[in-house]
Amino acid sequence: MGVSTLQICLIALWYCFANISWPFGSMGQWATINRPLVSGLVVGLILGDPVQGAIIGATINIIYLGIISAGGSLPSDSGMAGVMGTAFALIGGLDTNTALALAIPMGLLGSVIEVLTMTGQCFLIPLADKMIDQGKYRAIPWINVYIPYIIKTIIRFVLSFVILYVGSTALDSVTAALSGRVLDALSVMGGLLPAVGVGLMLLTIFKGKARFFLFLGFLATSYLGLNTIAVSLVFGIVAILVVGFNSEDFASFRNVEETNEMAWRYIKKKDLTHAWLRWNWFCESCYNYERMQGLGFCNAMIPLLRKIYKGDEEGMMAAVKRHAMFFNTDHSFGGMIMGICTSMEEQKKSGADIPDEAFVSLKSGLMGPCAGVGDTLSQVVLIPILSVIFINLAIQGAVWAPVAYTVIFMLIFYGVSYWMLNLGYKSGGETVLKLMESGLLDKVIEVANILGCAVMGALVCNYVSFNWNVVLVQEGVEVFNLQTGVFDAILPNAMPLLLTVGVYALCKKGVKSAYITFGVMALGFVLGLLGLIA
Amino acid sequence: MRNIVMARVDERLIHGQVMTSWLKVTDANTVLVVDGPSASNAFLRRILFAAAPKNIELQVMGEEDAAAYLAQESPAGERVFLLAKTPGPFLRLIRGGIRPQEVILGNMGGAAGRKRFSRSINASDAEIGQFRDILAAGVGLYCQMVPTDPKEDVKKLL
Repeated sequence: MGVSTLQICLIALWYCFANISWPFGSMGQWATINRPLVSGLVVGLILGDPVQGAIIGATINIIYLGIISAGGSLPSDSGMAGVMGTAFALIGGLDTNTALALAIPMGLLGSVIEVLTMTGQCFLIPLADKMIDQGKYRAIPWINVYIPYIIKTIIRFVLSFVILYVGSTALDSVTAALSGRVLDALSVMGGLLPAVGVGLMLLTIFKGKARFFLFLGFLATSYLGLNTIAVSLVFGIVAILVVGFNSEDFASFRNVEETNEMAWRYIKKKDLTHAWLRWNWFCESCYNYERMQGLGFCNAMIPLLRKIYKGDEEGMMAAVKRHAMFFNTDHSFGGMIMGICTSMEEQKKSGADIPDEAFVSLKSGLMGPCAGVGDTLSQVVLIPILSVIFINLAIQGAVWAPVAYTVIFMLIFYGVSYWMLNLGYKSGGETVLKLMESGLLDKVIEVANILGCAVMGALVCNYVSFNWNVVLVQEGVEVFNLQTGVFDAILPNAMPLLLTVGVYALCKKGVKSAYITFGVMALGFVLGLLGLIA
Repeated sequence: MRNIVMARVDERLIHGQVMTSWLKVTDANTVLVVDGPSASNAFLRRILFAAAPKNIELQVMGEEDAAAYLAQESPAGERVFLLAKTPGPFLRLIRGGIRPQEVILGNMGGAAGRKRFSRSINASDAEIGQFRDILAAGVGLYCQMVPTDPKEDVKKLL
């Protein structure tokens, strides 16, 4: 397929947009438009083949199912992998498995850029501190949002344009130069790679009772031929039965006390909602190693603080300073902590004796535990399980699947987040604590682990392809076939399962995921080149 | 002295995914948070207990209580993971005779008076002095955020 400069420009622009947290919100952007599942469809639309684009994007997404960004570390950039992998596959007319092989190095390149960005953004912090000291709060959105976004967008555009331009020009000659055998080996290698995604995912969910369900899900698919959606539904119900819920678990929701007597005295509901939107849009627009989301939190709070400390310049500056501290947590819980802080600020302004340390210890005390619970719920429960269902639909050719995934994710995530914001504002820290102490979250996570393991078992059968090509032929008659004669006869898909469990075992030992990825790639390439697997 | 398998500085104390991976690597079964404010404030204590994984025993103590507790002998099989927000508590424990094999700096956030020291470590001049004192006392000091990161020797960064 030929590609025009306009199309390259559009793809590069999409890559830039998929890395900007407005208007989808920081978590929304990261979980939806930046995922290969969604960007594959968009790149497909730009290149005139949305169905194939969605299929390739969804397949690339499997490798990145287990990707979790915790504590500011990102092992690989699935956004870059999705855009570039899909683009090159469509332009070069490559098969899906070969596209996977191309996507991996792109993902690693993307994560290097991420580290450089987070380091570079540290240099903006002293500037922000200086502006706060001088009371120039209007400069904060520039430092937290506009300047980093303008610089990053220019760099990303140039970089992705160059990669796409050079890559697409070279692609034809490279694929022509590689003999059929090498291309076949690349394709074999791509067939093994989903095992890495599933293996990494297992690292977080393969524990306790849930472990058995990996094998149950696997057997249900391998022997009974259930598809992924059937496995999700059946094992979803089984998981709820196995874990078991009672009314006690939901007690913390029933007795929510609205303890905030100052509510809506200084601010309106609209102001709090705007602050929440600003938090979600720009909490990580200037993400950096020094303060993490600290400046983002401050940026979201400033207009609220202006209302609360109207005409009290000294109080205003002290408040802005205490909210520019190091901060890093899950985005939903972050909004809730913002709600708690806002109600504390209102009480302080009304004369309550709340020292600075109270804010510091509340924020630093809550952010770690909340990140732990929140990262698990959003990144281990919600994103992978929703993705798996819609990846499956997209691979079967449903172009609407990425759109449905995006809409459903946004509704669930921001619905819960908004509820949590109001909970924090009206009821303070007590309700949060009750929720965390109630054991309900643990049960939800256990359900997710069981369901997740079962679905991973199904994925292994459907998307990891590892077929021995060892055949003994005598006088034109096939007398022995290792794959159909041995493996398929005893346990179909045994090799994909072994490979996946092997990847998991290495991850658990602490081997870096990049090494494992390259190891699997090398294994696939060599076995493919030797013609041992096909 | 109790069997200390790790002494880690992390401003966020018990932080889900990061903490889980360290507990797996060290195979610890007891976590001792050495932090005065967390020990004395009921709200902060509850947060820590709510956040701790269910299969470990959690203790939250001020420095003096921690020193007395750590001076006792461990029951068989106990593996203690120490956690503090800053290097100070560890330096004072070391001076009091409680010597972990090494101290790992995981995360210290930026704040007024602190300068960037390494990727995830920001430290004030006083804290950098404490780094030197820990090294001078003959205890190793390294920066390492998650187990898969390489260990950076603080000696070379000073």
